[in-house]
Amino acid sequence: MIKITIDGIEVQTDREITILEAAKQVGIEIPTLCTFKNLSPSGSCRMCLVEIERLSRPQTACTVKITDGMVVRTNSEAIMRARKAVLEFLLINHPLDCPVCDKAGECILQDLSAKYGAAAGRFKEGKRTNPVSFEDPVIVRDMQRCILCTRCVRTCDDLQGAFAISVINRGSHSLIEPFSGGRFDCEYCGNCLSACPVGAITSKLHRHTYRPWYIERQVETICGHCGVGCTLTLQMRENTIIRVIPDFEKGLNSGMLCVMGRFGYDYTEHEERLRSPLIRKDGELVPVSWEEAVEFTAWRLKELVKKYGGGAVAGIASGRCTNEDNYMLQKLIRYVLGSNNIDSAARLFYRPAVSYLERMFGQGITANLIPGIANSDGVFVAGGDPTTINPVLGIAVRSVWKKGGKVFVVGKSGGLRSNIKHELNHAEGAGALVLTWILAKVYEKKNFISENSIIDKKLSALKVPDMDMLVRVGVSPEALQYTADELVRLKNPVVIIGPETVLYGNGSKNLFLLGALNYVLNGRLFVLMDEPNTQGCLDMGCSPGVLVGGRPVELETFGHKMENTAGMKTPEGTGLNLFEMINGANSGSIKAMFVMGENPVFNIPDKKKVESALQKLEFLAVSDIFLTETASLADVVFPASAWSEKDGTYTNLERRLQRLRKGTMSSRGRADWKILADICKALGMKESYTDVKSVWDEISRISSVHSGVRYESLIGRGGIWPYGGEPLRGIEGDFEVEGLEDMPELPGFAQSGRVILKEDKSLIHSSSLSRYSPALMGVASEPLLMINPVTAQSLGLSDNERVVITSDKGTAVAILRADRGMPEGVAALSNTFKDNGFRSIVGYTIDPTLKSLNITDRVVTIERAKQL
Amino acid sequence: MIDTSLGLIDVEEGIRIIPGANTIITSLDKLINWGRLSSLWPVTFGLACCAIEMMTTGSSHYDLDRLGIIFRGSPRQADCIIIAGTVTKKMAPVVRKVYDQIPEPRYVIAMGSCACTGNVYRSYSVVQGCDTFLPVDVYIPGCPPRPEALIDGIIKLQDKMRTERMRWSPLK
Amino acid sequence: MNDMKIKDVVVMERKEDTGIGRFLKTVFFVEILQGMKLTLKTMFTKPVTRQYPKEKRPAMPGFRGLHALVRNPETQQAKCVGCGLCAAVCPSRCITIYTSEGEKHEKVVDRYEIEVLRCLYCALCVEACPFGAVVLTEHYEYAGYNKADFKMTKDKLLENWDKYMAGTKGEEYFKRFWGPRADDFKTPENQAVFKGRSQSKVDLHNAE
Repeated sequence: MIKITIDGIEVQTDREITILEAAKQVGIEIPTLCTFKNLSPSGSCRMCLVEIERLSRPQTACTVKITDGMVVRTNSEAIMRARKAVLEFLLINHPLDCPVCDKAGECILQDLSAKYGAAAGRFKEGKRTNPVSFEDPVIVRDMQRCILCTRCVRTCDDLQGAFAISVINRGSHSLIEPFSGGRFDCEYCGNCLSACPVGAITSKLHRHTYRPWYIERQVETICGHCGVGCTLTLQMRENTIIRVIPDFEKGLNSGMLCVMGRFGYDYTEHEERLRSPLIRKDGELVPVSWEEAVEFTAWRLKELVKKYGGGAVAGIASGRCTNEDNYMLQKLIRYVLGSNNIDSAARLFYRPAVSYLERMFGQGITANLIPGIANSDGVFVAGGDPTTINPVLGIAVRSVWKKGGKVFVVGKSGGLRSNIKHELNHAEGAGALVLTWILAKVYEKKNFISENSIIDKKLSALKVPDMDMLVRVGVSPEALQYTADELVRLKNPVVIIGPETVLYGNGSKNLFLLGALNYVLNGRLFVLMDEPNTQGCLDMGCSPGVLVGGRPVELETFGHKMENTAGMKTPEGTGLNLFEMINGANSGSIKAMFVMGENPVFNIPDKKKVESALQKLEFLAVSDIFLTETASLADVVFPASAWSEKDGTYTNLERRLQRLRKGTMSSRGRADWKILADICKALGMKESYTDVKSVWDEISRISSVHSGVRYESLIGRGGIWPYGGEPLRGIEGDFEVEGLEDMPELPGFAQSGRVILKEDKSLIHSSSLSRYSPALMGVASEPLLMINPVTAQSLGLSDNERVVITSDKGTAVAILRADRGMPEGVAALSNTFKDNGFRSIVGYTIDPTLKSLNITDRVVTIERAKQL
Repeated sequence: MIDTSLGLIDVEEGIRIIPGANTIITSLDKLINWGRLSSLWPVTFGLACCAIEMMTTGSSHYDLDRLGIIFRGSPRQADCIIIAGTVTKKMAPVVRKVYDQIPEPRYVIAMGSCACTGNVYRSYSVVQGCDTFLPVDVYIPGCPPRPEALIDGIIKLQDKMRTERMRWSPLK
Repeated sequence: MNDMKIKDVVVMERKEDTGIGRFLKTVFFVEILQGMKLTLKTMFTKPVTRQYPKEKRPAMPGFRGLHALVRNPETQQAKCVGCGLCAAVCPSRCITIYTSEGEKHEKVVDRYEIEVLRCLYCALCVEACPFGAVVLTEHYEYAGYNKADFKMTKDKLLENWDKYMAGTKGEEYFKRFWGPRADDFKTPENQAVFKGRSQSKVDLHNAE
């Protein structure tokens, strides 16, 4: 028990906290500049000086821990004088350009100067001059205004783990400079921007347009870019988002954001947004009224169902739409039109991976908490870079390393490069080989006694490759040995599974290996999710095999429940999945399709095939915010409202239900659920929905996992799985592993001049949506082809050259970028840029076990582009 | 006898004199408008501080009487209403009732920022401008407007009345 | 207290004009004439009524009328840099400013709008302005028929300056009446300096 006196108030506490914290708890405000939430104290600004009895000189309250019997004074005359003097020193160099500074109004230095009064200094010499850097696309760095509190540097190092900036030079010449020199060229997370107490680091997006008092409204909502679901605050002026800031108190991201969340909000204002419904008349899409579009759609769907039966209709849902939107789509397809053909782009990776793991271990195995990663002592990552797919989850992984935990990455380490000890960067196609070895070693060392006989049996059937093979695929024996040894020692491990485990073949085996590894280690599983609501899309039954609440269609009891509670009769059969729909459209068995917020032409490989399939449809309706490649093929296009313009709920990858809130009131489009409800109504649906809440009420009545969750109760961090019920883990059932007993094959190495292409997830871009964001396009405006420098050299190509990538399925143009992290003979291209997407130039087959995407035709030739 | 050789003399636009006959020819519009604007009787509706300025305008220093403007206490004898001051939501129906009792043709002068827009009172209890429920003819800015500004507003209203057409006719 | 007198005041004697005096007063309207004397007297004084539209009384110096944006005599542009302090301080929130980044990364004022009918002429905007860029002129005769006419744009406001504050009048005003006096604009960038609140008991300069 520690007793101290602060300004005559006696305080008692058990913990050893700093004077600053103790004072804050009793309501005494001690001014600080360099202290910041979540950052360790630094004591560099000297603003928080306090007097402590029996100590001859003032002490910094932010660094001094309280001790028993301490008597602290925070408001004596000497302290006031010290504060004024500190401010006077700071203002020797700080320019008085508040009228044109973006920070004015929320600047701590400004507030303190006003409070303690020291704007007129006695310093006669001129102010220091540092250059202002406008070189960055989204951040402006004005080192004139810097007060060297190093909050940005500490945020970058300690929280973001990017190590991009530092203080350079000495004395009064000190300034903050990126290591890359001049330009930041970092992850552009902008977390330094929210840390800066003055206007030294500001956002370029709202430069010179922002003032705190211009904000008319602000809304707390969820980021719509990836599956983490960070809490954001949108600040609006006259219906446009003027700024996006993180919320330090609420949300699982505790004030951290990534480049997409912080800067990628401006796509909603893009001029190419659809403004009115379009109907194809004489081969041209012409604007029509809402009523006409809805009635036309309803009439066409009705006619086609009458003619060909319900099975001829299909729907594609989207992980970018809210739960309510997805629910309404499956309602339209299943219960109004009578077809089970509904799927989404989750089919490509997320849905097969999660359902496979759930078949191994029971429903909800991947429902683990992202903030909990930081408490782990080791993270095993395979198949994708969490720092680019789910950046804030990646930050949690880095924080494990920061605390002394171990990080292991199988494959390209990417953003975790500085956090691993050994690279396990294997040759393309050898993932299963490496994983098998690690799993076998860990299983052997751990002396694991399994409770699950099925997994046990399968584990013992594994054939372990020998070291020679592993060396041949480019993995060093020490790295492997180290990984296996350290993994065994972990007490609280985390296993993170990325999309590459499934996308390039061997999916079921890879997933089995990782699932089993997690089982043996007794860890927590995370599956990376690149869209904000892919999980919710599945929970809403937008998958052919499952109904609302993730219940299999085969379960008749659930079908009965649906019929009893909602009067909705589930159609028979399991329905077609995404690929079967495309094939069906090609062969003519699917006649009509409703695509909501998805762009199959761009996002499913083999562009030509998908395109011709959609063209063969008798009726294609699309609701989207832009006229995408798919929408331009449609017969009816509905303008949807974007992420910031609608209410609803998102379910993130940890299955946390969070509320999305309407920020901007746009007249451009309507929420997808509203469009679909209107169509349903025109087709004779009885229920009518007034708002999102009424849709949610129906969901919570029907869905077993959402039962009893009230819409109003989803505040703050929202509801976490299981939503008021028992977790459904621990169901034992058999599952299939393709090629379990086979020795993993050595990959066939590419011939000279040909390279294997992979998909690259850029940190800056959020699949094809962010190509409409001017800010993100400013950061990364051209498609990049990441390639190993040795391979590039052997092809006779150099860095920053424009190259043409040719495969059997098509060509793409990109800028070549040498990347040491890529294995030899492998190149990576993102799937973001129009006409130059990765998936447009590859083909695919369907994985027989997982029914997932298996990308083929990846062998490409790379040539220098002809000069224009 | 009338000497017609001289023709009609234009005094101003639309007003002509027949020389020698002591006769003026003009349109009925002009005559009626002239009559109306020359004795404009406002019913006062002082609601707040603007009313003080309105009273000042009526008294000897500014003396509205010399313009033929005489404040009336009863709407039934008035031609126009001067809304002077903050219109609260509770008062608005009363203002409307008074306005409704004024016989046609009637005019509305919104005096001061509160009557025009609600001023600082962006509040649940204040009407955001009396043009939300009355057809305002003249807005007089000021907080409160000086008496001169009020007279200026009234003169502007008179100017407006001068240009009216067929306001007397039920056919319009 | 029960034995209090029922009548507290008793008339002891009343002196009244009676008889002939009263009669004469009534016959010759003495009291009325006394009143009429005042009326007669004012007939020979100058009338107090100001014949307003013909004869205009000049506004007292410092009168707060129509708004204007100060035109910088050197650049012929508005002095306003778009700091938005006037909008922040405005109690009726009638000032809206839209700024953006210019070509040389400077702050450009795109729109400066005052909704004049909302204004309560407190002149806090004038006091808050660190550049002395917004003023209230002496003009008050701008009643109008249309609400939209009262939305002052940047151009209109600059025009107001030329019309009503041209010449030395504007300068005079800053010297004599308005918040940051002309003396305050002495920093290199011609910006008024905030001198700090004098709440601190400690005066640094006299701390010895």
